[in-house]
Amino acid sequence: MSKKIAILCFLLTFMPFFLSAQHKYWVFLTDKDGVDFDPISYFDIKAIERRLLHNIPLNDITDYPLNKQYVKAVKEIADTLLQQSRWFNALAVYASPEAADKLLDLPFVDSISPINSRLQLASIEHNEVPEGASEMNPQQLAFLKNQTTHMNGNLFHEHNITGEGVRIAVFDAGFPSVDTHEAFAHIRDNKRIIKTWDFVRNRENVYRHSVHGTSVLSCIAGIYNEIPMGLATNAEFLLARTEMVLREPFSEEENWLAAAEWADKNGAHIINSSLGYLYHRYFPDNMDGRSSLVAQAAHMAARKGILVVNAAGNEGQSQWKIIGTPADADSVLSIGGINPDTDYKINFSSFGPTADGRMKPNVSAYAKTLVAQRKGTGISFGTSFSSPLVAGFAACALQTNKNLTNMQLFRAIEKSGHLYPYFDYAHGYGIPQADYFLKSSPEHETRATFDFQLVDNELTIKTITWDYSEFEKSDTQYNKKSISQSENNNTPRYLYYNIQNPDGSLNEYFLIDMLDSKSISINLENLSAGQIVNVIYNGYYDTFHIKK
Amino acid sequence: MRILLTTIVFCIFTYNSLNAQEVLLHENVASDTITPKFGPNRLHFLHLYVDYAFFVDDGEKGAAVLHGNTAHLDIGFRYKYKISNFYAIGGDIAINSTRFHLKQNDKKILPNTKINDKERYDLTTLQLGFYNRFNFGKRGNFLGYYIDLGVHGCLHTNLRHFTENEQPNGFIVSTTTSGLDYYERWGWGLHARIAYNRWVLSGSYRLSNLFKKSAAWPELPRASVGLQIGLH
Repeated sequence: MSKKIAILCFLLTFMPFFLSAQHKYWVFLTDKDGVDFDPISYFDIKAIERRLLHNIPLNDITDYPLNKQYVKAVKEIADTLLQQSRWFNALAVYASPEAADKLLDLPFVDSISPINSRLQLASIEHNEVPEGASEMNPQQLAFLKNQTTHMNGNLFHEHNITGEGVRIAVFDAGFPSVDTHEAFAHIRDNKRIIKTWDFVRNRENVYRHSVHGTSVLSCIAGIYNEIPMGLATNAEFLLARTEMVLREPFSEEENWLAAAEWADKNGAHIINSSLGYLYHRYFPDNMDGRSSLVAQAAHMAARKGILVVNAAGNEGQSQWKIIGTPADADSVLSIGGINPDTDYKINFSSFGPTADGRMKPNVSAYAKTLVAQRKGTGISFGTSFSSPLVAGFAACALQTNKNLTNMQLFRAIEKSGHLYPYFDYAHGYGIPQADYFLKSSPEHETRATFDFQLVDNELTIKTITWDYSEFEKSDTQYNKKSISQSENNNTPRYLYYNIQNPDGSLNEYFLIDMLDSKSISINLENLSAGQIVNVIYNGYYDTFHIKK
Repeated sequence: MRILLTTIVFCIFTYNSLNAQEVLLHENVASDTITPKFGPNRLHFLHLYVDYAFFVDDGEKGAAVLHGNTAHLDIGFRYKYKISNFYAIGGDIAINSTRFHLKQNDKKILPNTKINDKERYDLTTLQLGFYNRFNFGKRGNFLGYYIDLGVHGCLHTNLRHFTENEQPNGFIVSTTTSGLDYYERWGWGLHARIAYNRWVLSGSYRLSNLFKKSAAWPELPRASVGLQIGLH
C-alpha cells in the first residue's frame, strides 16, 4: 500500500510540469496581401521628417499592419496573443506544442520559432548618496561635473546645445519617481515626456517597478543641484518599459521589438537600451549581430533612420566576457565602460570583438556615475549608465547638425573618440569628445610624442618629452585628444598599442602606464609580415608596418 | 648600519625600476577565439549541488515515521557530458544524511515496542549515481529545462539509533546506539529530476532493503521528494 502511495505522490509532484506545457512562439506570416496603410495618420510628424531625411519611402511594406484575417485565424488557435510586429510580419503567441503544429499548417504561416530568452540589465551596483544637494560634498560635486565634462560636454552647454528638438526613446525596466523626482522637474515642467508605454503590462503608466530606467534617464537628461547629470537636458522622451525585473532579471525580446516599432512610429531619433541578452539563449559565437531577433530588430530600427545606442554589458570578468546582443549588431552604437578613477576600461565592461570579428564596443564613457534613484541620488556602476551618457551626447551632436543621418552620426561619434583613429576591443575609439562637433578651433597638427626605432628584431617605441609651457593657451589642439587624466595630473602616461592583422582585426592590444619609463620594446619575432603596430600616446597616433 | 642603509637604498631603486612601467591591460584576441569545452551547455560541466527531500510514504507496518521531520540532506558534485542538444549523460557523487523520525504509537515494532519521547534512525551514506538527461528548448550556455532519469547505488556508512526520554526527576536522557549489525551495507534505487537551470525538483525511490532479512524489521520509507539547488 505504502509503495502505491509513494508512486502516486511522486507522479502528482511531477505531473504539473507536464500539464503546463505552454510555450511562447514567434509566428512569422508569409505576406501582407490586401492590407491598407496610411503613413500620414500612422506616423508622428517627427517620424515622417526622419524618413524624408533618410530617403526612406513612407509606404514601406515593413510598416504596413498585419493582415487582420491572418491575425484572427492565429488568435483562434493560439492561447494568447502577446505582440504583433509589423517589421517582421510576425505575432508573438502563447501556445501548446500541438497548437504550434496547427499554426504551422496554416497556409499563410511561413515559420514558427520558440521564444526563450532572459535579459541582463547592464548595471551591477548602487551606493546611496544622501538625498539633498546640500549634503553632497565637494568631491561628489566634482564627480558629478566630471560625468559630462569627460566628454567635453561642457562645450555643448556653453554653446547652448542641450539636445533640443531631438527625441530619445529609452527602453528599460521601469521609471519610478520620474514623475516626481527633482532631477526630472525640468523635463516634466516643459512636457517633454511625449509618450510612455509599458510593454510588459500593456498600459500607459511606466512610473513603477525597477528604478533602473530612472537612473538611466538621469544619465541622459537629469539635472541635480543645477548640474547636468547627462547632456541632453532639453531633449524629448519616449519612455518604454520593455523589461520585467524579478529577483533575477527576466524578460523577452519581443517587447524590445515592439518598443522599437513604437519608437519609430512616434518619431524617435535615438533609442537608448541599457540591456543585453546573453547566455540564457546564446553562445558567445552567436554574438555576430545576425543571430538574435533583437539584433535584427536593432538593424531594422537603424534602417528606419534611428540611432540605436546600447550598453556593451558587464561581463568583462565573467566567463562570457564579450558583449551581448543587440550590442553585437553593426548598426548599433555599443558603449563600453570607463573607470573615472583611472580613465581607462572599468574591469567589468564587456570586451569585443563580435563573434565575426567586428570591432566592439564602438566608443566608451564612464561606467561609475551619479544617478537619480527612487529618492535622491546614488553612485551606480555599469555600462547601463555609459550608454545613456553617450545617448545624451549623441542628441547634442545631432542638434549641431540636424541633417546628419543616423549612420553619419554614428560614424561622427566614433571619429570624435579621444583615441581615434586608434581602437581596441576594450575602449573602441575611446571617449567621444564634444569639440569634434563644434569645430570651435582650427585644426592644428599634432606633434609627435613618440617615435619608432627598429634594431634587429626589436621595435622600440620611444617617448618624446616636450616642454608644454612653450605652447600658447590657444594652442589647445595639441592636447585635444589626450585623456582627461592627463589634464588632471599634467602627466600624460597612458600608451595604447595594438597589433593589427592585414584584414583589419586585432591580434593583441595593450594599455601601458608609462610612469617614469621613456620607452617600451616589442619583439617582432613572433609577428608576421603585413601586420601593423598602432600606437597612440598623448594624442599622437602613428603606425609601424612590419615587413619581413 | 652602512650595510643596512645600502640595502634600503638598493631596495628603493630596485622597486622604482621594477615599476618604471605597468601593463594595465593586455588582451590576446587569438586566445579568446578558442571555444571552451566546459560550461552549463558545453561538452563537460561539473557543479556542486545541495538537495533536501522529505519522505512521502509511510514505510512498512510497525515502522511509521513522522512526515515533515523525516528527510534527507545531500551535498554532492554532479558531472554532465553533453551528447547532443537534447541528450546528455552524467553522474553524481554525494554524501547523504537521513533522519527517520519514528512515530511513537502502539503499532511500533522497530526496533522494539517501547514508546520514547523521541526516537529516530540516523543514516549516513555515500552515494554514486548515473543519469540520462533530456533537455528541452533552444538555449545558450545555460542548463535550461531538463528531465533526469537515473539509478544510484550507495554505501551505508553508518546507521545509528537515537532515543530521548524525560525522566521523572526532570532529567532528559538521550541514548545513541551505533555499530548496529542489522542493516545492509549497500543500497540502490531510482531517481528522477525535473529542473529549470539551478532549480531542481527531485525524487528518489529506494529499491533495496535497509535492514537485513535476518533482522526481519519492517522497512523504513523509500520514496522522497525534495528541492535541489545547483550551485553554479
